[in-house]
Formats: sequence, structure tokens, C-alpha cells
Amino acid sequence: MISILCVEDESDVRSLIVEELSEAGFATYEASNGREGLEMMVSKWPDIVVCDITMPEMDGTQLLAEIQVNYPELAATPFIFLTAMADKETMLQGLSSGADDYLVKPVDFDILLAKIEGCIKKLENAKKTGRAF
Amino acid sequence: METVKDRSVPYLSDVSLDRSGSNAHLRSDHLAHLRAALDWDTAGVTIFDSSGVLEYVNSAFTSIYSLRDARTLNFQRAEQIESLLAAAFDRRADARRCVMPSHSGLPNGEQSFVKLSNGTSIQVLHRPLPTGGWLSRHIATVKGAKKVASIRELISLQTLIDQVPDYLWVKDTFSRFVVANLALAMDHGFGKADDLLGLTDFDLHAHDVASKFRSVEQEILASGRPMIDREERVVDVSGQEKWLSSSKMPLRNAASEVVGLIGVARDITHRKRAEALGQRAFELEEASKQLHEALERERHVNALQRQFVSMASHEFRTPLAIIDGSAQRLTRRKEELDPDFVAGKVQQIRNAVGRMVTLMESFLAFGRLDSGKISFTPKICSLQEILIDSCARHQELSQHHRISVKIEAIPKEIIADQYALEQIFTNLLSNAVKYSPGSPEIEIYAWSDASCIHVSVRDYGIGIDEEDLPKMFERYYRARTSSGIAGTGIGLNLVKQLVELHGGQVAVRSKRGEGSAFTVSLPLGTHINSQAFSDGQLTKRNPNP
Repeated sequence: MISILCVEDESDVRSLIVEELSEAGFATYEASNGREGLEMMVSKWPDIVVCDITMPEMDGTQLLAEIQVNYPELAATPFIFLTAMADKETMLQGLSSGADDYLVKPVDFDILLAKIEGCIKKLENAKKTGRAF
Repeated sequence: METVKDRSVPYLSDVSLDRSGSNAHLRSDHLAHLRAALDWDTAGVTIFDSSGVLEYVNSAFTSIYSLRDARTLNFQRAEQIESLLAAAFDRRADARRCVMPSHSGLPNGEQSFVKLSNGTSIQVLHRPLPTGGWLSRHIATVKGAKKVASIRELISLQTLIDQVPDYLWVKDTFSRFVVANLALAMDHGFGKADDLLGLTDFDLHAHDVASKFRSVEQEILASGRPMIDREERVVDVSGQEKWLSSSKMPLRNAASEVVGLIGVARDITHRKRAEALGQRAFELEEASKQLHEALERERHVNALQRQFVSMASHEFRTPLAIIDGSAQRLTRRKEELDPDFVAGKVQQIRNAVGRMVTLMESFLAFGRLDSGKISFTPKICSLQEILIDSCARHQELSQHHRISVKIEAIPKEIIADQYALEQIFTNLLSNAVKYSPGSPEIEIYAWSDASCIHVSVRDYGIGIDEEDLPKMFERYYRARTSSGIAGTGIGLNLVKQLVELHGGQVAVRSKRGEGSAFTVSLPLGTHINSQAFSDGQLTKRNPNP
């Protein structure tokens, strides 16, 4: 089963996403800030990460940067930002730091699921060809 | 070094008259005359008494040997004078020969020639005195003295003053020119200095300028006091503005009566222009500096506003995401909705709506404060109730925190704007919750003293750096520790403004990593019936954190 890590400090938002993802048939992990998210990634090796940006302790871009720099084995994990930061500056920063997608809240869950499906296809192709995603 | 104090030099003691004082009535006059005669002499004169102490020295002596102050010589011994003079000579022996005779008692005295280090030759004559002392004359021969004398014969006063580029003139008591130099004449449209004689300033300057000069000169003539270095603006014959630095002094005759006026003026137009230019350049530089600062401030405010706008958008999008997410979840399950699921989603929606309403009210209040359109309507209300209600509302929203309230004796009723107070404590409480993830304790404490009611809101969260503390209540300012926690930077500014509307103050104490305490102090003038205190202590703690 494909596993997805949801990193989100707003518990209501997190519970809704997790509920939606589980109902769509994914295994889910939860983290309420970047630091917890990093621990989860290291310990659980989720297939895909859906991550907020504005969070206490360690924010989403810091988490992604940490992965890119210090955890090369996790760096290829598909990473989707799901954030309420709708300004272009933050969006460009998020995408250029290595995120595979950038979704702005409120998000249509169908779109979120479609993005995730897309990531899964690429993961499977990569597995077949032995190439990193 | 031995000196006799409080005796002025040149001092002439009795060298020629009877020391017994029988001629005392003549003595002072004689001495004065003798002294005048010797001081007039261009040769240096010294008189030593029999014990070798200097009794008299004239001014020519000090100038020949370049001694700065004759007083230092007073009543010194010959040896001491010799060492004072030594500096002027290449050889010490010359200094000695110059001060005292080598053989005392030679009836015709002795003559020697010495040469100063600066090349001046001096003829020195020592002659013994009947009292046992000796009189010396020092005659300096200046090289080229003859030439100087011949030049002096050549030049007249007029040619001399005509060479001077400054204006020079003498006026009589009627302010008519009696002496003038060429520079003054030329610059006022005359061919030679004599053309000015008999004229007045009214022939040279415009009426108002001339009247001004006239009144100044009349003042000098009347008071006898000079005017030194006054800057004056004039307009010359070609209509050009000119600045002069003038000095005007009374001219006195032998009887010391003021008989006219001596004037000197220098053209300082260039300097004034340079000054004016410098001033202008300075002003321009200042203006440009101010402009830069304003621009910098503007940029800063713009950056803060951009940040504010994106954070405001974020703040609205988060509850919207909850509402929208809940609605989407309800749609997904529409075929098989169970009441608990619906209730849960509805609760989430309502919480999010509540959050948006609070947010919107903050923005509106902020906007109204900004435009001066805030409605401030103080009425009788209960601070205690407001605190308890606010805490209860926040407790409901923040299940991970424990909010405790402790209220000591405070006035039961106060006159305040209830809506404003609610906003103040809502803001402080939501900050306390927001900036203390993982530190559940939040304490509200209210008490009063002689002048104020105080309410503090304390958390044990991330805290604030010391250098951020002074700026915490500035609009849009957010502490460095807030990074990663959503916020617009208007809440505390709003709190401060609302507290100030009540004549109160808000203060913050904090330390990074140890939490923050915000204390609102409202002056007791806002309460009524101060006797009616609430019933002692009241502590409320949410039973199920």
C-alpha cells in the first residue's frame, strides 16, 4: 500500500486531509511540524509527502531543504506543498527548493488526489526502469 | 631663580641721586624723565648695581635680544641674564661679554663687538658707575638699514595706502572723505583717490545704504567706540552686490578728542558666496538624505505591508480550507452520512467560521483605528465576565492548552468598551496559544492596586528575543521567534491602541524559550463604585485539558 505523510500544524486541516487520503486507500502518517515530519520521513520512509509551509519549529521549506542536503536517500521522495501561502514569492521559493507541486489552500481534494496519482505513476515507472524519480 | 614680585619693569632705582632721600621731592620726576629718555633710545640700555643685580633695562634691549618679556629680567643677577641671553648667541662667552665688563673698574669703560646667531652685529659698551655698578649700551647694526631708510624717503602716505587692495579712508565729523585710497575710488567709479575727497557716502551708494553707514558712523563719533569687522552688504556702481568686512575707528587728536573716523573695509564677496554655496550644498545634501530616509522607510513599510497582505491571505485561507475541506468530506459521504460524522464536520466548519469572524473583526478594528473611525463607547461592564468568557472560548478552540484564570479583588464593574476589551484579551489569548506549541499552560491573572487594574496573560512558549521586545507593539512587526507561525503582525498593535483608548498601558516581559507575559494595566479612573469588589479570589481552571 502506498503511504503518505501529511505534515500540517493545523489539526483540523490535517485531520481532514488524512481522512480523505485514508478513504482513498492510502496508509497515512501525521506530523504537526517540520521536525516531526523529518523524524517520520526517516523512520517510516513514506512514498509521498504532503506538507504545509508555515509551521512552528521547522517550516515546510526548511524540512525540504534539510532532506535535500542531509538525506540523499529521501531526496527523491515526491513532495507536495499544500499551503495557505498564495503569494508568488513563496510559491517560487517552494517550487525551486525541489517540491514536485505547490497547491494553495483551500484545495479541491480531487485535485490533490489527482496529483498524488500522478506521483504514484512516476514512482512506478521509476521502479520499472530502475531510475530514481 | 630670584625675582622681586609686584614691581613693574622698566624699573629705575636711584642710580644718580642721593640714596639718603634728601631730594625725595624731585626724585620721582627725575626718574620718570630719565626712564622716558632711556626707553626712547634705540640702543639697549642696562644698569647693574654694585652687587651685579639688574636695576634697569629698557625696551630696546629686550627687542635686540628677542626676549619676550622684560619682566623676567627684573632684579636678576648678571649671571642669570647671561644664561637668558645665551640662546641668542652661538657662543656663551659672547653672552657674557654682552652682559658684564670683563675688567671692572676701567675708568673709560670697555667696548666689545658680539654677533648674534641670527647674524646681527652688536656693539656693546660697558661703563662703570660711581655707585660701583655699571651701565651698558647695546647698539645693533642691522644689515641693509640704509636701503630701508631710502625706501622710506621714497614713499608718501598716499602711495602707501594706494597699494593696499582693501578700502582705506578717513572721514571728518561730517562724514566727508578727507583721506581715501585708490581701491575705494576705483571700485566706486572714480579715477583717483583725490576724486573722493569732500564727498560723502551719499555720493557713492544708494540712499538707504548710505543712511545706514551714516547712522553707524554718527554712533561711533558720538560714543568713541570702534566697530570692528562688521559684515556689510553694498551694491557697487555696476549694480553688483558686494559684501564688505568693515572696521571703523574714531580718529582722535592729541587732546584725545574725536575729530573724525578711520575706516578699513575688505571685499569678502567671494567668501560670502562660497559660504552661501556651501550652505546651499549642505541643505541639498540634507534634503537628499531626508529623501533617502523617507524612501527607505517607505520601502520598509511596503515590505512589511506585502508581508502583511500575504499573511492576511494565509490567515483567511486556513479556516477557509477547513470549511471547504469539511464540505468536500460531507459531499463524499453524502450517501452514507452518520450523525456523528456530520456533527463533527459541522463543528469544524463553525469553529473555522468563528475564527474567520474574529480575524475579520481584528482587521476591521485595525482599519477603523487606522482611519480614526473606531467607535469607542465605554459603558458599565464586568471585566471579570469578559475574562472568563474569553478564556472559555479559547479553551474550546485550543484543546491542547490548559487556560487557568485567577482573579483577585478587582472592581466588579468598570466603565470600558466591552467590545474593545474582548478584542484585547482575545488577541492576547490567541497569541499565547499560538506561540506556545507543546507548552500547554496559559495563565490569566487579574489584580488591582491603588491606581490600576492589571491583567496579565502568561504563556511558557517560544518567547521573544530581548532586542525584539521594544518593537513588539509596532504595526506589522513580528518577532524573529515567530518564524513558521502564521500571523499578520497587527494583533499586538491593535491591543496597544485599544488599551491606550482606555488610558491604559500594555507591557511585555519575555525570554526566548521561556515564554512571554503581556500585562494590560487599565487606570482605575475607568471603574465605578470601587467599593464593590468582586468576592475575593476566583480561580477557574478547565477541568478537562
